[in-house]
Amino acid sequence: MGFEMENRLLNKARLGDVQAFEELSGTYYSKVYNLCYRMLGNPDDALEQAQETFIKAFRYIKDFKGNCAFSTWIYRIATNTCLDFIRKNKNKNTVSIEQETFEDITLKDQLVSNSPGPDKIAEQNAQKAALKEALSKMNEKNRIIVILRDFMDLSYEDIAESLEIPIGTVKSRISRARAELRELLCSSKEHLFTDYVK
Amino acid sequence: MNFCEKSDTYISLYIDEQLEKKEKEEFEEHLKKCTQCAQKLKEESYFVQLCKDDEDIILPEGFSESLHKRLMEISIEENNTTSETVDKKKPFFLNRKLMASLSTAAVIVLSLLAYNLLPKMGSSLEKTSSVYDRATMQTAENEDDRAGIVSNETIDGDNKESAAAGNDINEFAGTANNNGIDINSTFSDSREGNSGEASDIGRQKAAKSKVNNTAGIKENNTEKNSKQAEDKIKLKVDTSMGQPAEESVSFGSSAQSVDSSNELDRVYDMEDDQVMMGLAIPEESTENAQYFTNYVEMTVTVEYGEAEMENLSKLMTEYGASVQSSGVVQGYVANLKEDTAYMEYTISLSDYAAMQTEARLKYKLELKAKTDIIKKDITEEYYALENKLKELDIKINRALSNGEDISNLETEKSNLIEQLNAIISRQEMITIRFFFVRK
Repeated sequence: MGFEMENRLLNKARLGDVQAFEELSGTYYSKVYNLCYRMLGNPDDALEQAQETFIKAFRYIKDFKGNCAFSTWIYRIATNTCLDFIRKNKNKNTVSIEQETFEDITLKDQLVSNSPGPDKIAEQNAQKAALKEALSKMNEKNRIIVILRDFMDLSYEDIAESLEIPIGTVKSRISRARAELRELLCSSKEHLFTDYVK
Repeated sequence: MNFCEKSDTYISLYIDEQLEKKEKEEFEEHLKKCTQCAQKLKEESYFVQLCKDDEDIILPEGFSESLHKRLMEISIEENNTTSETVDKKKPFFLNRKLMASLSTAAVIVLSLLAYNLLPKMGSSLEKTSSVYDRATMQTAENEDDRAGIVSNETIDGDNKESAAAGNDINEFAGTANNNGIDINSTFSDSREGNSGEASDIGRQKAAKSKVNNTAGIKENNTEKNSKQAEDKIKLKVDTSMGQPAEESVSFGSSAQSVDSSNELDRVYDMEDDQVMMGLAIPEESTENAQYFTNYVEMTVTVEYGEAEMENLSKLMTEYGASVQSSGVVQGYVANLKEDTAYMEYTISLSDYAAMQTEARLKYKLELKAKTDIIKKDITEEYYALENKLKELDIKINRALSNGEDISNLETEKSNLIEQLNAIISRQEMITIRFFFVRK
């Protein structure tokens, strides 16, 4: 989307134009949903918090001054929404009865021709599950860093803008977060990765 | 450098290629020697890649639709909140008027108190006397007019002139009486000679229900030795509280005939109108209410010609709007000289967002806003109309006193009121000019 176009839509959205807001934010629906899904670990909460993110964005778009990219502003809202949600639900001791649902199916899974063979698929799925489990065990502040950097491939600058922290802090937090993930995966699921990392 | 101590940082920065060239080389040298760090790097690189390769989950079906629904609800809710805020302002606005009236009343009371407490009442009576002189002069100039105003039944020829002068003063008081703030201004602005003089009488009149009697009495005495007579009259006014003095019996009835404020209104002449209009300004300056119109231009992409126009008309009917105006604009579409037709509709501002969605989903209309919502300040227009209304009221009152037909004026008045109401209601409306452009 061109800068001029984005600006025009922004101005309209600031006046409460839902259509303009949707046009502007529609690109990020999937990104934000995935961010929420990886942060919260289940599709229902992810859906709810992703929608909450866009509702907040719509409500506060009048305050968006354009000092940063619209995308990083949206990611910032999504991050804060998820962290808030986790904080509020921390004491609820909910037992995760997480199971694979159709929401977990990725585009790649749907492309049969791309399928590498049953053993390989089983191994990849086990690794994915291990990654997901490790993510869920991570400290949420480290988790969001890994999500923004390694899953979403955001630059250090974009992460700094999204989390409103200096670049130096971003660097140290990325290294800490990756170290935590590495520890988690290697300690409990080492057997899954032996062929690859030993 | 001890890379092992800070291995996490160096490994992470190395993976992201964030190390300086020299640092990078040194770290690579270290990796050759330190199997522990090399192993960590191998593991971390693999996990980072695993994360990067992790496919995005497909957005759940209906995500956009349900979000859209929620956004629409918020949009409507927020619009309602805005209009509620506007509604809430109304009582506040009215309260301000009320406050203005109350403070005016307070000023009157204080002025009256101050008047009664002033030790040198003679000086103010002198002022009163000068008003008489002025009034008498005016009467002389406008004697013919005056004759029609004053009730001749109770005034014999000799008294006619002075009685008319009395009415002239009554006019001042009437002006002041009609409008609390006018009185306020008259009272407070003693720099203006005439107003100040008039106010002295005005005070007496406002203070007593039979104020005009006082004026009448005074007029009667203007032709005699005014000062002495006024003192006497003043005494009477003060003691008898508006009971007509013996000398003024003949005027009493004429005064009574203009006793009520409505009656007082009738004894206007143009000069007084001007006085009133001039004095009415401060009232307006206390008003902060602003009025706007909302306007937007949209395009409707036309593919089948009439079909879209019909659909638009149906859509607008749903929002209770009918075509207000239509026309063509040449060169609306850039680089195209042909005429572009347009139609104008006015709908509720709170429906504006919902209408666009409805247009898209239900009527398959491709609408695009070509402008932002343009707010035009029409506050001045509103007050101009309000002033017209005031002038008209004066005309109506005058016509009534002259026994003239007021039906035309009444029609004009109802038109004006309609226009004022339209401005108020337009606050929450938006006029959309739809241009029909070819696909």
